[in-house]
Amino acid sequence: MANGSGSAVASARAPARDPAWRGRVAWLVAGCVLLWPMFVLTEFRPWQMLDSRSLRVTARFLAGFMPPALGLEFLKQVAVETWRTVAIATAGISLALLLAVPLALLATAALSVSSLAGRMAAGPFVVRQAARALMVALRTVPELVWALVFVRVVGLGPTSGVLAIALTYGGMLGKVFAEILESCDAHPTRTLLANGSGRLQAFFYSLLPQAAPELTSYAIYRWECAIRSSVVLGFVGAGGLGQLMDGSLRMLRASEVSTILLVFIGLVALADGMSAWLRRSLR
Amino acid sequence: MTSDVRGLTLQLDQVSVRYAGTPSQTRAALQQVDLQIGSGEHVAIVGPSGAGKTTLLQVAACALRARDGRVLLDGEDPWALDARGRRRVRGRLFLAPQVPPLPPRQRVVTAVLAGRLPAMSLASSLRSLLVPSDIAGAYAALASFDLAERLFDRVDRLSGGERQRVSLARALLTPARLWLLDEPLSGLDPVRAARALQVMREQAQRRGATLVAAMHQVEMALETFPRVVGLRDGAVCLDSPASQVSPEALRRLYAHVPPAQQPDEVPAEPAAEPAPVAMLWR
Repeated sequence: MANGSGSAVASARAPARDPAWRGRVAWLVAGCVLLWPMFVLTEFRPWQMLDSRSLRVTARFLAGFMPPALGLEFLKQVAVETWRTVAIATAGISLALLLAVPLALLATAALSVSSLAGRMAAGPFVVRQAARALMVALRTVPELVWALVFVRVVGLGPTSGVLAIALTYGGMLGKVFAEILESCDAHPTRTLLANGSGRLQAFFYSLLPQAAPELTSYAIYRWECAIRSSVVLGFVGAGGLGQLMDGSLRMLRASEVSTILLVFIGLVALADGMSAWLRRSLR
Repeated sequence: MTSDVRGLTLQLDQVSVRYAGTPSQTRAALQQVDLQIGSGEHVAIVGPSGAGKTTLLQVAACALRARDGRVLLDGEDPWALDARGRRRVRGRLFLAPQVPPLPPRQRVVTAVLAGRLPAMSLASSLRSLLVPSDIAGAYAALASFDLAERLFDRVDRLSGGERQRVSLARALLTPARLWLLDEPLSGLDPVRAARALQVMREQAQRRGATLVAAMHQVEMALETFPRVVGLRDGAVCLDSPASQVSPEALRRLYAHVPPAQQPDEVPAEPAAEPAPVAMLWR
């Protein structure tokens, strides 16, 4: 509003405080009031880990892990199983992407043509909600449970692990992809749709250029999670590093376990570096 | 079909628009607007800020649904059609919004060729992402706006005025026959602005397209366009050939606006409280 040059307009006084402060303080107090009983109920007493008895037990436990087992035979085995784990995770994530991308495109409101001119029409709304519901159903069941089911169906081996990862991660990737697309700047997309282009055309020409770094880094993060999942799935017979670790733990060979863990940390660090490099180069 | 080559006619009958969520005491964004624009006509829409120029263009582009009244494009009501028919109608018009709708990381050549998407199949548009399908066409379009050397640059490396010109250059590649330009000269210096307007008029004339431009620059609008429509507080209060617009009519159009909001060409009026208006910017 223009103010000044000695006109007859009365100048309004600046408001004394932010109108939103009451609500914010109320939420903060409510949050603290809710958190405190949770700490008490779960017997959250971390200082107990630092008394001398538990420190001694911890030290003895950790001593068994050093030095890590470096025998040639064992290292060859670890290499083969690492490759198998990475293969399970990669195959699982590839299938998950095949599932997630169409579901995300179906579910995202960013490509809605009916909401260009007002509220979304009923039909498209139902379709989008159905796609969301499917993704919820897929990711609700933990992959361990899926793997146990598939092991009964297809037997022990990597297939059950790949299928379990594909289903669960398909639901997760789809939901987050749909929300990433909705969080992009909608203006270029809406302009293209308002000028008569198709939905997929609008996706490739305006949503994808904006969302590419986010989509890629999330997909790589989930690939990293899939590696961790396939290690866990190895404990139920899906093969890979998990199965190897299961064996070493049963035979109480802590040094072998620490080798496997170090390889594992290396894998995750590799995934992290790849994600950072891809984000940089897509910028 | 000859109607594909001819410019679209635009007709608004008693169109009223109220944005969802506006309190009832604020006035509607458009109030019973009647407007008739013939095929191939070039019209400028002028008026103070908040008058409803953007709303008018969005209603004409089927990007906003009028609460009352009808919008007829070439005699047919797009809202009476099914979704596919509406998409076909949208493919025949081109809306250039106030803010250039360009994704930051995209290259200028792809951003300009995106204007042709309604006429391309999905497969050819995907192929064009890999290898631009019509580099010569994009080059020619940008050359008329003095941006040819920026063909392969990224959009976020351009200045605001350059982005505005790229957004206008898209129009030269569309199959559209109704061009709706919202503030096409924002961010452009006076020389570039005059040139851009001249290019748009020439190209629209060559294609036989109907051109409707909403702008703040009243002087330039009167100079360039054969017909001027004045909007004020959501209603049409001026609709005549540019040569017949009197300074008195312009003063009435911009009256009761605080001095800072008036364009320079109109003599100042004593300031008063402007009416509250709810606006949702796109």
